[in-house]
Amino acid sequence: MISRIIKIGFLFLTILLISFLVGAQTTLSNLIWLLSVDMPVTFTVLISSVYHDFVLMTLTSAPPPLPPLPFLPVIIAIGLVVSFGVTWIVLRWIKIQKKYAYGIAAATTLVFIVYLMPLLFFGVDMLAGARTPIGKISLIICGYLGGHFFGSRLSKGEV
Amino acid sequence: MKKQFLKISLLTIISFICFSLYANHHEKAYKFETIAEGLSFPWGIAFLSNDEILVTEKTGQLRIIQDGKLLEDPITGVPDSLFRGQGGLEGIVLHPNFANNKYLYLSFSETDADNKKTNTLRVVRGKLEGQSLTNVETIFRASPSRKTANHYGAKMVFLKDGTLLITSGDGFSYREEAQKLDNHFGKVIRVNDDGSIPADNPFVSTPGAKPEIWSYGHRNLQGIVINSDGSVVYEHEHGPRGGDELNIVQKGKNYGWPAITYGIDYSGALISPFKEKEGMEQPIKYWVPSIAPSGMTFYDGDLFPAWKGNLFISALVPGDVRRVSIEGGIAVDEETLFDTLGRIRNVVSAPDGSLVLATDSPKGKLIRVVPNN
Repeated sequence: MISRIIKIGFLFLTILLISFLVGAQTTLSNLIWLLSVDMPVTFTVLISSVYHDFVLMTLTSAPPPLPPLPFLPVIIAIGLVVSFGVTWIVLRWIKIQKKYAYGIAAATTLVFIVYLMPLLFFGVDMLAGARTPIGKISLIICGYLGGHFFGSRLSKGEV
Repeated sequence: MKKQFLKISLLTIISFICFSLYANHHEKAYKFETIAEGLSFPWGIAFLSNDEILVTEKTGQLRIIQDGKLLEDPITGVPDSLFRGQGGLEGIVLHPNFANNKYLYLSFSETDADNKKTNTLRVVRGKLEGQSLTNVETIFRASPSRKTANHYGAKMVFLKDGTLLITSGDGFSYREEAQKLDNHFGKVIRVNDDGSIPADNPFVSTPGAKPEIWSYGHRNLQGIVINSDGSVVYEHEHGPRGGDELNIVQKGKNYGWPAITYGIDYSGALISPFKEKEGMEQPIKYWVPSIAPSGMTFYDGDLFPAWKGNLFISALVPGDVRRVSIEGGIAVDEETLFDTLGRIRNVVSAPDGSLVLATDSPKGKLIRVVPNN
């Protein structure tokens, strides 16, 4: 029972970590462009923007007609529950370190998010940072890092 | 104690009666008359006369209403459009000399002939002969094409000098392009009535710039009108989450999108932490939260004398019309009207001084607003 609660706690932390990384990636991609057009992007602007994006991307509800739930964490959570579930089953037969297995699983979740979302929204990337190939790759890496964190926590705690 | 209770009750009842009387009086200032219904996402409206109205349906048909009757057959000869996302057959405007030359202009989204995955905004003109559009020729095609089916802009207005302004949206996923001059994303375009480029456009001699560009740094501009003497061009554009803007459009100016904005992204992220910068124009009014401005008219009619000189802006969210008073280039007052009709796609002034609204629905209506007495 306790181990299950710890796992859920790690999953929750993983969702937050990926949300933070995706937010930071969005912030950086926006600020890099703003710098390129001579906008006064300072260190203070960077810090406040990263904070703003993490908080608002985690809390802001999805635009209509989607249900009014926190947009980013909910889609990440749905994706992770599915991919981590599949990984848990696969790990019963295949020997691979959990941190890599869950890293790949979370990265796969982000692949689906960045490539499937435009299909649902008439070609529109709801995550602005996903509009370029480099942006897509960096978001997938964000997913991998989150999954890696989850897998390594599971290995460490042997839960 | 009892007396005090009675006093408060009496005061509440009197206030309620006064409010009801005020509300009733307000409702009585105008009434609605349905001109036509069953229109498939009506979008653009043009008056051949007060009782002869052309309406574009986003699904691709150009319809005609004569003497209060929607003719069954659409006008033939209209080019195919891409009905997808926010795209379709959209804007319509008559040539200032329509009475003699019969030219009308249509704007619509169109799939590229050589690549079915991309599309663009196209503007054509054709001669209206009876129930047919003939001699159709391309006036403008936005470049480059986009993969998205969003943010076309697609509104048009003729200036006093006979040139045509066309709004070209940022395509949603191409917002940074609005700050560059080598493309048509997020721009107001100015062409002659035959599509040629006026020699006095601001960027005709700028290397690498598209010569059709009149102003830049816009998002999704769905309203553009001129005032009664043709000296001021007003334009409104959708912001993302918040940040819808009403601007006075001037030659060669940069309106800032997406480097400065009052809105945030749909994901909740900042698009830009900046709201102003030297060299970038400020809106004369902005809305946070968004009202989704979808159309605009400058009212110069006589049926509602109190509204003369005001802008009327239709709003999709929550669904109403905003009457905005302008004084000295500043929006000084705003009133919400017609908020019982649902999403309103467009508002135009009719020749008789009434206002005509188009509701946004697969079974959309055209509704005339006239004085109640």
